[in-house]
Amino acid sequence: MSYDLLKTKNLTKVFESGFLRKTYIKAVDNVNIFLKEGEVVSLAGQSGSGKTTLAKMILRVLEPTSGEIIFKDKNIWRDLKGLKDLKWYWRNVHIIFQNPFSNFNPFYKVDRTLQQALELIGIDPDSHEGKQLIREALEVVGLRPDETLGKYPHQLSGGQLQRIMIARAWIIKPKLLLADEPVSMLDVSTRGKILELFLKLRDEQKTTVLFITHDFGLAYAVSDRVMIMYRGKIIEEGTPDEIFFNPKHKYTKELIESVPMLYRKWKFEL
Amino acid sequence: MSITELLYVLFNNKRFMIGFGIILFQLLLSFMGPLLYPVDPFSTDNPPWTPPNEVYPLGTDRSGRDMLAMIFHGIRNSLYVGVLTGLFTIAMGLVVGLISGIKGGILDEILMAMTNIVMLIPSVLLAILIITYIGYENARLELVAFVLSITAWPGFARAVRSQVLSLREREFVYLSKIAGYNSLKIAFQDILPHLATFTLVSFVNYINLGINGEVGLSILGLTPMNIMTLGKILYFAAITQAFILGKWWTFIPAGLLQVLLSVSLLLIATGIDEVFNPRLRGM
Amino acid sequence: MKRLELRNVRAYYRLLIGNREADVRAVDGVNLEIRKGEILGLVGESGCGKSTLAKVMLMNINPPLFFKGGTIILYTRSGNSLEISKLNREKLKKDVWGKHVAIIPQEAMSALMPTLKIKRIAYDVLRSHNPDISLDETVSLLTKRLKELGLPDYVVDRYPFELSGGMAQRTVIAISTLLNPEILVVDEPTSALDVSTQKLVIKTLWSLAAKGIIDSMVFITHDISVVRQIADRIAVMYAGKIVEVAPTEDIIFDPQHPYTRGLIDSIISLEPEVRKRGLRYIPGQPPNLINPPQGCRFVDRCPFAKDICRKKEPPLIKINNDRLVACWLHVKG
Ligand SMILES: Nc1ncnc2c1ncn2[C@@H]1O[C@H](COP(=O)(O)OP(=O)(O)OP(=O)(O)O)[C@@H](O)[C@H]1O
Ligand SMILES: Nc1ncnc2c1ncn2[C@@H]1O[C@H](COP(=O)(O)OP(=O)(O)O)[C@@H](O)[C@H]1O
Ligand code: SF4
Ligand SMILES: [Mg+2]
Ligand SMILES: [Mg+2]
Repeated sequence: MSYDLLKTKNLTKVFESGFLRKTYIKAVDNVNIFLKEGEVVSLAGQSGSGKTTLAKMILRVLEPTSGEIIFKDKNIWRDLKGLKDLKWYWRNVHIIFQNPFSNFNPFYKVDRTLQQALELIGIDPDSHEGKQLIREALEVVGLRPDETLGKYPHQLSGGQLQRIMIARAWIIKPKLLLADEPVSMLDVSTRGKILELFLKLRDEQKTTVLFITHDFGLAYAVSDRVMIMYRGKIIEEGTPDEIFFNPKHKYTKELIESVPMLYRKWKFEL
Repeated sequence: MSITELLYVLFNNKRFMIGFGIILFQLLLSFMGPLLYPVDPFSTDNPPWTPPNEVYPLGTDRSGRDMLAMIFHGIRNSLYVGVLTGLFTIAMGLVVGLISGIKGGILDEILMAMTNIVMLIPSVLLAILIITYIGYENARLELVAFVLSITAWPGFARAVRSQVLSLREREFVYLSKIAGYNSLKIAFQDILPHLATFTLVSFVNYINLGINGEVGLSILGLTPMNIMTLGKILYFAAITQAFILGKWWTFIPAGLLQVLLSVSLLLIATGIDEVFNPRLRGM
Repeated sequence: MKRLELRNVRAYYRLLIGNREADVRAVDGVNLEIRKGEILGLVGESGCGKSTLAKVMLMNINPPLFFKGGTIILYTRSGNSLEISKLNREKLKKDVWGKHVAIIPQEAMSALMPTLKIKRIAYDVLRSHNPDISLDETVSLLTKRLKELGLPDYVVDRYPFELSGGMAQRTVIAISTLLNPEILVVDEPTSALDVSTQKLVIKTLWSLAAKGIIDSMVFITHDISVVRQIADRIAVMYAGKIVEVAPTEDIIFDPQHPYTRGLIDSIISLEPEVRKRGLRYIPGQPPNLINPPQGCRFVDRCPFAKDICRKKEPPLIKINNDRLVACWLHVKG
């Protein structure tokens, strides 16, 4: 944990909508964050607070309205030119989206997702090495290759699909993995397994994980550091214990009071 | 579901099968008819206004043209115009819609402005202009199909574009992109397959449009004089006042066949939609 | 004591796969009672049959769902008992739904007619029970109910899209209970909401019961931390069956069925106990309901599975004063 892997400077995204009467939404508002090597950082906030928009800009698929994103001394929206540079970047920064089913194109077998990973790192998917790597990756995430390969997405469960996405990340070995609500659509009983895999990537490959969630419980359970996002702004940042048991910001306090707990009961009065 | 399973379900769909059966029957007529009944549809060597009898199964018109021969050739040429119209429309619409949707930006604005302008032009007017410019004695069926598709493709292009725009935001498209795929590869691998059903259904509907459009242009006298089509038969009936004179055999069979073609194509289109479109399938 | 009783109730979806027919056994032999004056939580993983069971409780069953057997008895406030599984649709519509049992389905909020004002929506609902009611009467009833639930009365003149998610959901609750039904079934009432709105909606549901507007409630959710806030008892459903029913605190602090235990252990909440415990999960995934395993349906994921679990289905039996469990570990002898 020495240097900043990625940082943003005054990052802002304004969406324009409407035809005659234009309305503007500041989805991300002057955000300055930093991510260090080998940490799991949660980006927590209610839906619509701008988490996905921030992630897409960092992934370099959505252009910021203003501000900079610096990855390893490169301004990614200015200095990366041509497919070669971009591929280098996407080898270093990759993503897993929320909905396990829309992570996969339903027309193709799930194998394609892993073969794409091999293509990205320059290994022929049909080579012995490539096939071996795919099997290895599946085993790492606890899937049996023979029961997984050759299947279409609808033939597998959401949890299995999300694990294949993590296997993809394991092949690519990015420096930074953006995980956008990766377990929100999964059953409670299978979430733990997926979350464990993120921690494993951090511990074994020094991957930095930006764990995006609206669920404070999840953020508390997995992170080394937490950032709270509210209406496009980062309003608070710190260790999980600081943020959740000694919040500074009024909004954070209010939200924490509304989070239902397992072992504690609310008292209502008429 | 695999392709074979889908085909199986498709062939178990009542609407599709009825439509498909009728089309198949008409195709058979149009190809086998001229072989089994080798009569020149333009020959005027027969007695005029003959009602159906043993020699002329569907009678003759005022110039003595054999109605049955006209119908056999008419179906074939009408179908040809229809399929060609479908192909032109789909091809132009797909290319423009895909480019617009995927590339976006200024190219998108130019192309969409173009579709807007073309959609404003009344199709009949455009047809009259083009065909009188070329001269209808020089006009060929291919030209008729082309003229018909000129005003049809913008609608399809816009529909394709809006589907592409929503597909482009789907997560798997982003994932292909960050695996280093370029726009062309994404268009072919990730986007086109999702448009397949819609395109197929539209294709069938544009065949229909072509067949009916040809009839419309023919009745205005805007199609080639030397090629027999269902529209041409109705045109001849119209200019010889067959409707008023009650010479029913010169227009009822051709009219019925045209309606039958239309209906069967509609049945095919809805059948395909039912089978392939998961929303209608209720799943 | 009983308000609604389900005895060995089964309801299957009839599916067409290619040209083959198959049954999805979404509710498959459910035994459950809803007591007078209680809030019963119904929890379980996605696809285990919760929403289907909700429809079955009201006998609101439409193809492809078919009732396959069992008995459902309603005990009304006035002391009558009514075997609603024997009634036809007309009769249910006229005499049961809305008056005795009401439901707020999973997609209720998005199902509000966007082109009608709230008062018109309420009017249509009431008119289907009593053709003679007037719009004015509806408005006064609705205004009174909104006030009781702490909602502003301008809501009656709003369109659904003019209300925030939480407000819309609470309005739906107000409208569904206009006829003071004995039982209200709510299916995932908060899963589309932010936590702060969620808390408001839960409080609204709680006050419905606390004020005696309704008598009993079935609260369906996949989120145990939510339902534990107001439920008196919790029923745990797995693969079309009820596997454990017990008072809320007993389910949370002392789960007895291996599935319940796994489920409680997997919950990740914002509590130090949970962070200390670390991440847990149940291996595998729920069985396919077209072809569920013989015997215990949890057998492929259960760490305690024995021989008999594969062969025979465990009965739902009473194990201590107020707990029912369906597991061979708890069958004596
Ligand atoms: N209309 C339908 N046709 C066929 N099968 C259905 C239909 N609706 C539900 N099912 C199946 O019945 C089973 C139970 O579904 P149900 O909706 O009751 O589950 P649930 O517990 O409410 O899930 P969730 O938590 O996702 O709301 C599932 O296997 C589901 O796929
Ligand atoms: N493509 C888009 N066009 C217009 N508005 C958008 C777009 N994407 C997101 N937004 C808006 O930006 C805000 C932040 O959205 P998002 O980043 O998806 O939030 P989160 O991921 O935290 O739920 C929301 O108000 C959303 O409606
Ligand atoms: S019956 Fe057997 S398999 Fe089922 S939960 Fe009990 S111990 Fe496990
Ligand atoms: Mg998001
Ligand atoms: Mg449900």
